[in-house]
Amino acid sequence: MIMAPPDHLILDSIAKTRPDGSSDIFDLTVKAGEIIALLGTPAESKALMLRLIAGFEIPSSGTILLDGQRIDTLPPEQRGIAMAASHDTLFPALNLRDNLTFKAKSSRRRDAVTRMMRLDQTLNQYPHQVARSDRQSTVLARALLRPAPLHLFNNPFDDLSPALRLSLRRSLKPFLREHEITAIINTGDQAEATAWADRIAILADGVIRQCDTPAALRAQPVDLAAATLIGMPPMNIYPARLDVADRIGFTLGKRIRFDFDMSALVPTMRGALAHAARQSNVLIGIRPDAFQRAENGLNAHINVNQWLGDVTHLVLNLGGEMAIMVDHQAHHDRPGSSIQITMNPAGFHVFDATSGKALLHGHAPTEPPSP
Amino acid sequence: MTALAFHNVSKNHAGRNLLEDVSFELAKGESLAIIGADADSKAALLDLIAGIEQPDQGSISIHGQNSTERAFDQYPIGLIEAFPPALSHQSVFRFIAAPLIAKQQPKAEIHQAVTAFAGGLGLEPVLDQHPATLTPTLKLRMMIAQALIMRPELILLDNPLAAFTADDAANALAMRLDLPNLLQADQSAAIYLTDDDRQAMAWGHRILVLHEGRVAQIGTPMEIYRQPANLHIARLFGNPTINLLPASPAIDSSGVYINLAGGRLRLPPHYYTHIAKECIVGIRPEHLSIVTRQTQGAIHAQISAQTLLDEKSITTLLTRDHHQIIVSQPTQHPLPEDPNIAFVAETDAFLLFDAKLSTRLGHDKEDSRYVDWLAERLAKME
Repeated sequence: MIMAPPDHLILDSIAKTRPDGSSDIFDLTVKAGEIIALLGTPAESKALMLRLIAGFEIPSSGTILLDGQRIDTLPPEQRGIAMAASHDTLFPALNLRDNLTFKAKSSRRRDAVTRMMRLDQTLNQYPHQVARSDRQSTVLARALLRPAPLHLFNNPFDDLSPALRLSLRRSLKPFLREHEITAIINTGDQAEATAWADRIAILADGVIRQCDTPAALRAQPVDLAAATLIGMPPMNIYPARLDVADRIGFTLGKRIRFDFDMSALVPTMRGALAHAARQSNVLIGIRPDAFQRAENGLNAHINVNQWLGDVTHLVLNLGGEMAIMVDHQAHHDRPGSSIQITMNPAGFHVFDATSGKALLHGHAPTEPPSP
Repeated sequence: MTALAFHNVSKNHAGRNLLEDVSFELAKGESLAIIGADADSKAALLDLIAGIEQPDQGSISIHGQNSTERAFDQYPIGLIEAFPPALSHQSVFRFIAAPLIAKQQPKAEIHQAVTAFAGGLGLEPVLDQHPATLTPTLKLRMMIAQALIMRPELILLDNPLAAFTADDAANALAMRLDLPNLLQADQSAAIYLTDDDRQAMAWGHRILVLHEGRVAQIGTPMEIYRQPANLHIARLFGNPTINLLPASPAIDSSGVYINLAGGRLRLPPHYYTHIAKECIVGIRPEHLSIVTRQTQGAIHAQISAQTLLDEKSITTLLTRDHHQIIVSQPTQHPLPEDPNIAFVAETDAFLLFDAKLSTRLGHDKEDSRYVDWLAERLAKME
């Protein structure tokens, strides 16, 4: 029998009180070899969480366990955690190679890192001689080289060259996997978070609202924060009122009415329907790719149509409400013309207008429509 | 009417060719996206269009008038940059009004013009604020108002979305969708300088790809995407990047095919006129689909990774001959649980490149030289 990997890092109600009296409180469990990405606002909360784990901040309360050892009482250098900062932390008197090899043992790994970070050509130069993007690559490479039980990446990506950043989207995860690196990554870019992470932790107002796989976050976000942070273009959100009779439906703008039958709801959530329907005001969330062209569908007026090659992004006017639609087929309808659309219930979500909590999720019909 | 024309323009600086033999024309109401310019070439382009510099060779005309015949401060050009200079001592109102104040127009006229343009761009509530306090979206709108207030005949946009950070992606996207409408560009011509392929596709009626200072290709987004002139341009556009596989076309009784991972990708007959002995086959990820192994003609592979990207699910496949292939499908598409799958390609989706020259076959008329090779093979078979 294969044993599940043990909990490697445990943040147990680790809290930091701000000067105004409010607190950040983090609860998180990370398995060995797992990659966690942090998304959300404010950016300070994400950085704070990493700094608490690394030991650069002292928590107001709570405990941190790494490999079963309590580490929150240890000074940073005894925790053995590797951290890549968002700013230049290189030794100015050492060339890039010596900056990299500082504390690094395996040369095989070093070659792989310098290749991945495109530093082969600049190793003999000193930090002041190279571009800011190369210095930042070195900062990130040095952290990757350090043998450590836990790697923290505190948004070291913003200053990388755009080409390298794009290639890392593909290459970083295989590298972390190959070297069995457990990582927590703070990035502002949801495409990166989605590409790298086994699970994404969504932070809002100083707590982790949801920590789940990218696919689960997309299909069943627990609240508006999670719903709008995952998915690009972001989910369309409208204030509306649900009406439930033999079908479930709502009206957008003046006269655009969507409805579908109950079987399109996530089965476990059907009980929540009565509650959602009782709420006088809810927020309806519709993913941009849930809109689909259909004959005899609802009339939508095209405001913007941008074909990007692989997909088309449209801005539609639905009875006075604006909607962003992603169309996987190439169509070239001019702005000003109209199309007919329907909505795939899989991209349909209902949130409480006051608390932002998710009330209902639609799901894909069990029989996918034949092409 | 031609708003702007470059005729064989070259510009050299410190022994480096920043622009070499660049020609294009831009009509009134048209927009051109320029991608692939490095910082120096871009600066040269902007200076040449603004009339601050003159070309070493060739000529530039604006509204039919040669650039050398006009003083540069008379150009009806609006410039929109991501990071505007001199935000330190003005209100948003004064920033937008700056060109009119410089021309010493009457106060009442300035007030009327600023109110009109600011209103159209949703800037009314922030007119008294300090420009530096604005969000990137409002800052860009402020720049647009300042550019439009001179009623320019040509608008230059230098990487307009560069000020948006990665965690501001939703606003950057909204701005990408809005920008052409905000410019009211039917009255003027627009040039977008950008590093982002999606922006170029979205904004340009035509796209000009610069490569090392030369025009690598100029065409509509459809032409650039579907018929890229070479491998470099094919890789520049598309998200995820195009799959490129080395291949030697072969022939049997039912036509020309490419060997790939123990399977055969059949080429439709209209490809026969442009194939080379050593090809690189380009297939865009969205033109591949994952199917079951029972599917006729499908090529077997294994799923090695899956991830979501924007509104697509991206699957990395490993073929039997260890090629990595990226497949992109709509997120609604159900993903198979068994990693042993197969894939098929849309028959018209192949792009064939000459492995030696890296140009796309069929792009250049000279490619017909390979037809002889094919005819020879066909003759042997008969």
